[in-house]
Amino acid sequence: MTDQQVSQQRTEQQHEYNNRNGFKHRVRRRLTSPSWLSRAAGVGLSSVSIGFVILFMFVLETGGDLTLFTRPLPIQVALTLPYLIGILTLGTTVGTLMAWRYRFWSVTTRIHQTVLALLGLVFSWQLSTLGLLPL
Amino acid sequence: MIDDRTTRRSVLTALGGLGLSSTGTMVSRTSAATDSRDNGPQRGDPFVHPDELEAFVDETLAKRIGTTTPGATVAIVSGDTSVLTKGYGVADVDSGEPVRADETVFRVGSVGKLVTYTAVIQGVERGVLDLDADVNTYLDDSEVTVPDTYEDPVTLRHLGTHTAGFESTLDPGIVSEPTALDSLETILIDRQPSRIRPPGELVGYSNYGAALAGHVVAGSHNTTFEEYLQSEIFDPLSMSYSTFAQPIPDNQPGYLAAPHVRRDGSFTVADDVYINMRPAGSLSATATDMVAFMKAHLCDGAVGDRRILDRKTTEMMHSRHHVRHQAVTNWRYGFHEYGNPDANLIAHSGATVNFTSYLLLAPDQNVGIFVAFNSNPSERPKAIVDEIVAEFGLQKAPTTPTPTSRPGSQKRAETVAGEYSLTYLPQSGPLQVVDLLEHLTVEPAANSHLQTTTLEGDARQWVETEPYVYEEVGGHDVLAFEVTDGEVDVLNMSSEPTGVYQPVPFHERQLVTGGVLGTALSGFGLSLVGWGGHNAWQQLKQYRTDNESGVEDSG
Repeated sequence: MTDQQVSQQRTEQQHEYNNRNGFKHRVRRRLTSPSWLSRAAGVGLSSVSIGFVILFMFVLETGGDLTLFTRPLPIQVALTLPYLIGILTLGTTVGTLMAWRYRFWSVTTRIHQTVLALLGLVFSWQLSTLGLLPL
Repeated sequence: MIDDRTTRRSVLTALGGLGLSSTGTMVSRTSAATDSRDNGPQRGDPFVHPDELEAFVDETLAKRIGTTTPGATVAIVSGDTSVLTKGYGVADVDSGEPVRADETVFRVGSVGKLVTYTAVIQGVERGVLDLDADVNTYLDDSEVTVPDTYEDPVTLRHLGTHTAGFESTLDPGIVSEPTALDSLETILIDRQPSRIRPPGELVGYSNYGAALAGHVVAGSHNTTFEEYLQSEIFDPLSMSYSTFAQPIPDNQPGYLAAPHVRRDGSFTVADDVYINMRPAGSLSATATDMVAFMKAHLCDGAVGDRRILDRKTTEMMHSRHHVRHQAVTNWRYGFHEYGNPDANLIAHSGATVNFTSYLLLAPDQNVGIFVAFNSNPSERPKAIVDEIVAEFGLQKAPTTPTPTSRPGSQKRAETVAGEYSLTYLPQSGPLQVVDLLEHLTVEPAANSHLQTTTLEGDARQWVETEPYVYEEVGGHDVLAFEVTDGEVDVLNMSSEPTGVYQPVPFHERQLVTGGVLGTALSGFGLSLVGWGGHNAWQQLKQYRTDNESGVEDSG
C-alpha cells in the first residue's frame, strides 16, 4: 500500500468517525432539546391518532365486530394505541406549556402546538368515553 | 309480528354478525317427518293441514338456503304432536353432507339458556332452590360470591329475568380452542362483572347471570352442570343428541354441522368457537331433540310418561316474573314475550359466532317452533319464525294505531325527544363503542307523531295511543316511556325485551362524540399535511440554493 493510499484510508476512517460522532451528537442534542421533543410529541400524536382510527376501522371491517370478542393480534395492537395516544397527549401538552414559558418557536408555531395539545386532550377524553382509554 | 330488525347490536348480543349475500339455492329435503303416533292436533290447532305448513316452510326456506345460509333445521310441534321436523341445505359445504333434522346437531347458543332455566325451575319444584333467596346461600361450597354492592341481594328470579343488575360484557367467554376453556367456577370468578344497578329494577341481558344460575343448579345438586342436565332433562326426554359438553364427545350420536361464513359470494367452513359460560350458550342439539324439549313445555312438563316438571311448575315458569311496562313485552322465567304482549307468545333467540337459532312457544295454541342456521346471516332464523307466526295466525295482524284523545301530545313528544342507549350494552371497555353506534334517537314528528332513527338508518314512525305510550305505524312494536317530573327515566321498546333504553348524557351523544373525534382527526390530518408540505418546501428551497451555488461556483 502506498503512502497516498494509507493517507486516503485514514481520511475515510476519520470521516466515518466524524459522521458517527456527529449522528450521536445530533441524536443526543435532539433528545435533550425541549423544542424538538415537543414537536416530536405533536407529530407522534397526530400520526398515531390517525393510524389508530384507520387500523381500528380496518380490523373491524375485515374481521367483523366479533374481533372485539375474540381479540386477534391486529385488534390487540390497535387497542394498545390509545395508551400511546394518551402519553403523546401528555407530552404535547407539557411541550406546549414549556414553549410558552421559554418562548421557543414563533408565536404561530406555539399557537399550532397549543391547538394540537387541545385536540389531543379532547381526543383522549372521547377515547375514554368510548372505553378505549381508561382514565 | 315484530320486524326482524337486524342491527349490529342484536348481532353482537347473539354473538354473530357476518352479513351474507347470495350463492344460489339448494334445498334438500332430508328428514321430513310427520309424527302420527301421538294424539293428533289440538283443538284450535293452527296447523290443521300439516302439508300446507310443510309447503309454506319449504317455500320460506327455499328463498334462503344457499343465499342466506347453507343449511337450516326446523322443528314445529302442536301439543304433543310433531308436525314438522326437517333439514334443509347442507350441514357442511365441503363434504356436501345434507342437514338431517334427526341427526344433524346444531349449536343453538342462547336458546340453551331455556334448558338451564328449566333446570332452575326443577330445583324450585324439588324445594332445593327458592327463586327469591339470595343466590349466595347456594354458593357456600363455591369460591363464587356475588358482592353485596346493594342492599337487596341477587336472586334466581333476577337471574332468570336478566334483572340482576350486572354490567353487560356481551362476551360469554368465547375462546377459539377447547384447551382454553376454564372450569365454570373459575370463569365465574375471573369474569365477574360489576353490579351496576339494584336488582329487580331494569332488564339488562346477562350471559354471566345465566352461567351463575347453571352453577347454582349444579352446586345445589352436588354434581356438574353437564351431568345434571344429562340425567334430569336430556335422559328423561330422550334428547340423546343434546349436550352442553365442548367439544362434543366422540361417543355422542349424530354429527355436528359445520359453522359457515360467507366470503366472496360463497359459504366457507369456519373454525368453531367454544363458550366458557356454558349454561349461557354451549348447548348443541338436533331439531328432533328440540321437539322433545318444546313438547315438555307445551304438555304440562311431560312427554308421554316422561316428566321433567309438574303442570303447576311449568305454568309458573311460563307466567310473568318481571314486568318492564304493561304495554310492552315482559319476562317469563327464562323466556321473553314475543310480538304483541297480549298474544301470549314466548321465545328466545340464540347464536354462537357462526350459528343462529330461535325458539318460540305459543302456549295458548300449544304450538312450538324451532329454527336454526349453521351460519350467522343478517336475516336470522327469527325471520322464518315471524313468517310462520304471521301466516298461521298465531297473533293478530297489526292494526292502524288510534291516536290518544288526551291533550298535550306535542308537549309529551318534546319531553321524550333525545338520544337513548340500551342497558345490555357494555358501559366500559372497547365494546362500549357498540353502545355509541347503537344509540336510538327520538324526535317529535308531524301530527304529534314520534320518529325514531338509528345510525344504521332504521327510521320508524310512532303514534301516541296513551300518554307516553307509542305504537309503531305498520307494526306490532310499542314504545313506552316512564317519565318523572318531566324527565324520561326509561324507554321500553317491545321488540327489545333484552334491555331498556336510558337517556344519554349530552357529552356522550353521537353528534358530540362524532364532532369531537372528527375535529380532532381533521386537525391532526391537516397538521401532518402542513408539516409534510413545509418540509418538502424547505427541501426544495435547499435544493435550489445548492444548484444555484453550484452554477455560480462552476461559472
